[in-house]
Amino acid sequence: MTATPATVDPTAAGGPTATRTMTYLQAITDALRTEMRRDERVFVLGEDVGAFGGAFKATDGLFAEFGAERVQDTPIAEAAIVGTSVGAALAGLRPVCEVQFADFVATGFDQLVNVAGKMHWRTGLAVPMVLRLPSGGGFAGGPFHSQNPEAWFMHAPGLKVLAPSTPEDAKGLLSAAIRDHNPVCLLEHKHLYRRTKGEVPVGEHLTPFTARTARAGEELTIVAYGAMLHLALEAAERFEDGRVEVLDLRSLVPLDEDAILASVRRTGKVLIVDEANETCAAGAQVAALVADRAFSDLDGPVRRLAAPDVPIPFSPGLEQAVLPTADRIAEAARELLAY
Amino acid sequence: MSSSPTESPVATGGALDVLMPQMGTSMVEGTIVVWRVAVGDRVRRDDVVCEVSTDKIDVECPAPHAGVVAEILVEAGETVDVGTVIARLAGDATAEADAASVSTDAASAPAAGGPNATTGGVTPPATEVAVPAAPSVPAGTPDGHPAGLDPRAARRDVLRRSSPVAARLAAEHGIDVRALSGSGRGGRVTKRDVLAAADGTATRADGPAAAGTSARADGSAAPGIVAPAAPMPDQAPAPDEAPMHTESPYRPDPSIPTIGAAPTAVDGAPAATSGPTAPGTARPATAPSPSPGGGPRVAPPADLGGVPAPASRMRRAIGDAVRRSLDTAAHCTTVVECDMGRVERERREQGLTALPLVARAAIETLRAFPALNATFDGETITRYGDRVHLGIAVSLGEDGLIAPVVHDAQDLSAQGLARRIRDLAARARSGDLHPDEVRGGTFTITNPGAAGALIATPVINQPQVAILDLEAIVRRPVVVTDAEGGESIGIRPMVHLCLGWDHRALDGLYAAQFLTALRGRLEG
Repeated sequence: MTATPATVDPTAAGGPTATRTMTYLQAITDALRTEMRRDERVFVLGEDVGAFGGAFKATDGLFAEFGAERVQDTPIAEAAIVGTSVGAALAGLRPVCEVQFADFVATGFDQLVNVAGKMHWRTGLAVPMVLRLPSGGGFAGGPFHSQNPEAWFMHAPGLKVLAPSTPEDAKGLLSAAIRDHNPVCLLEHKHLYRRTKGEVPVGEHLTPFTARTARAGEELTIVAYGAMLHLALEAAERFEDGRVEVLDLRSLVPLDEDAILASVRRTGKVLIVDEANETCAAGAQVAALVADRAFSDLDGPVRRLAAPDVPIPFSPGLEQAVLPTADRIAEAARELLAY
Repeated sequence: MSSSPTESPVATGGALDVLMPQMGTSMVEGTIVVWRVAVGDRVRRDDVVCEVSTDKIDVECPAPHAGVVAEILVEAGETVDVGTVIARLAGDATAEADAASVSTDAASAPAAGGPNATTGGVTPPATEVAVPAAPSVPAGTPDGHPAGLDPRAARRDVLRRSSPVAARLAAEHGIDVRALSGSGRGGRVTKRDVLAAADGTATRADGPAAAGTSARADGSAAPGIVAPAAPMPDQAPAPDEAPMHTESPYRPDPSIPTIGAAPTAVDGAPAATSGPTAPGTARPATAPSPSPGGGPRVAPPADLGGVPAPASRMRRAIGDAVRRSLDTAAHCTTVVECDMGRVERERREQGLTALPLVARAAIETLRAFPALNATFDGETITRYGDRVHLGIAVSLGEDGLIAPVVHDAQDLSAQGLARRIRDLAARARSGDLHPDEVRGGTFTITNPGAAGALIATPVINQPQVAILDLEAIVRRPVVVTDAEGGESIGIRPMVHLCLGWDHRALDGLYAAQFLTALRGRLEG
């Protein structure tokens, strides 16, 4: 199969900077289609990803274009999905497996953490595979469908962990993950799937595994990723322009330590927001980094906002009480600014 | 998250301070109702030392630590800010010595602005020394530091009153942060303060107590004269500062008057009620409230058999609140008549009163009328979208009125609302409401119809923009239309839905559309 330019929209100019407005979900589908057209070793597998197009329709249309060989339905068995992917990757393919909800990856944990993650250290073999993990709450999905398990993978050496917050980065990070030679966990935020729209480059688009300054400011850095990035921006907009900086991590492993430290050294204050449960969340790693390496530049305490260490409740009211909100972020920011 | 500084006992010279507690995030001051202990009494940790009253709620204040009561600094009846030292406890061994060494002229100590002033009371004036006007101070421990304070403790002292970056920059520029007046929380010296000092643009400190004491009256704040480094190991934030909290979505609501506080002037409304006392000063709770108009009060003739009694705290709080609301909002009232036949049937079936059913319908209707589920501070209109924090006016009989708030009422069914309203009303009447339960409403319903009234012009609960008044349901002859469009006179249970609304925030057409939509929902 030859690589073909992925100009889907006839109105698009087709140049290297042409963009199309897409939802976060459409950007993921676009990345899969573009990478599958570019490289015939890329294939997707997962529960109902074939003719049905996936539980969230992320693989919609791929079965029709690429057929059952490259868009494979699997049994409801995450250990099998991940294990098959590890084997396929070792055999030279580039599997992209969809775990229907990130919460369910727990049943494939051994294949991921012990087999995929350790393979290169044990044998020198590369395992170029991607796990797409629809994660996050905010839609009353309850304790089994709302988790943010990124810290599980951050703690396991050998895995890369990405968490895009915008359609452009969803496409760019997924594409770059597919081309990476390591097992990569891509935390897609379900709440953003159809709520977030943006301009996405047409055709091949790669995003580096670095942080991005989503809003510039001089007095306080808010560090966030995924859905929390949008709440952090909403909170930052309540202050005068130029006061609050918002840093979108985008990649949790590798963590863009230089970008975090550079921002905090400039502002002197940092608020770190996690949608995940507080203990040992990604934000804890950021907080530890700042305390360790930017101590003498701090002009206030390192503050975190995260979900308390409880399962995410079904009740919409309770869920909103548990998850960080723009109000709580703004409140913490206000206090830090005045500190 | 870290606990607020005011929650922990503050050690001052070996004694332990008992602070005016913060009960609920919105409380800013409290009145000592009665002391349960006397000087010399031995208390265990969490023993009740006094009863404290906020404007609406009475609470008990526990001892933060075991010890012997060395001093009582705030008399019963006085109102002080949260965080003010109200008493001192001494450990058993040091009780007598501390009680003797601490100033007994207690009346002025808490009156002058909290911890800073309190510490000032025990700091001998001899520690005030002159330093050169240059930003740098001589190396070594400045005068006034206790002898034997080692460098590590000194550094910790510096860090406590500044921050790592401020301390580092100060050291790089040869500046002593303790000689700067800070602009941060509780007078903390920030990075910006140090950079300003390095540029030579800093205002020199007039002592560690400078923060927040713009009304320093003794004239000792002449330039170049500082009272440096009086050891203030656990300086609490200035008491007019809300404690830091990131967990709670609630904020202090300055627009709700607290008892005895000098009301703040509202745009367009004269601060006519400014009392003789300033905020933050101790004042007897029984002091007569100035009359709202500021004019002389007219005393009734003495020979008519009248029995004078001071208005209760609650009476005066209600008076202040409604006066301020009428002075602030552009009150208008719109009335719609509604057939309650369906509501009456449903409430009988469900064993409810009409109120929760009307409340439920109002919440659903508000979704399409977001401008009514809002607060307005004169400049900014804040809308709350799908979240309705529903105030329910509850009569306390002759004592007054209170409007506890059902937060996130949109999540409750009519049954759930009924339960919550019953619970809030019962606890309102028994005085067991938490302060947060009477704050933060975005829309209020009042229901005086039970007393038979037919129509009223309700007063908006500031800073909300509307209040719905549910009046008596009365059987009246009205024109009813049957399915074929034929008209006849029928006897129907009718009610007036009176909406009090603020013309500054919205217009009459909108109010009428809301009421009509609500009526449509209620009539089904």
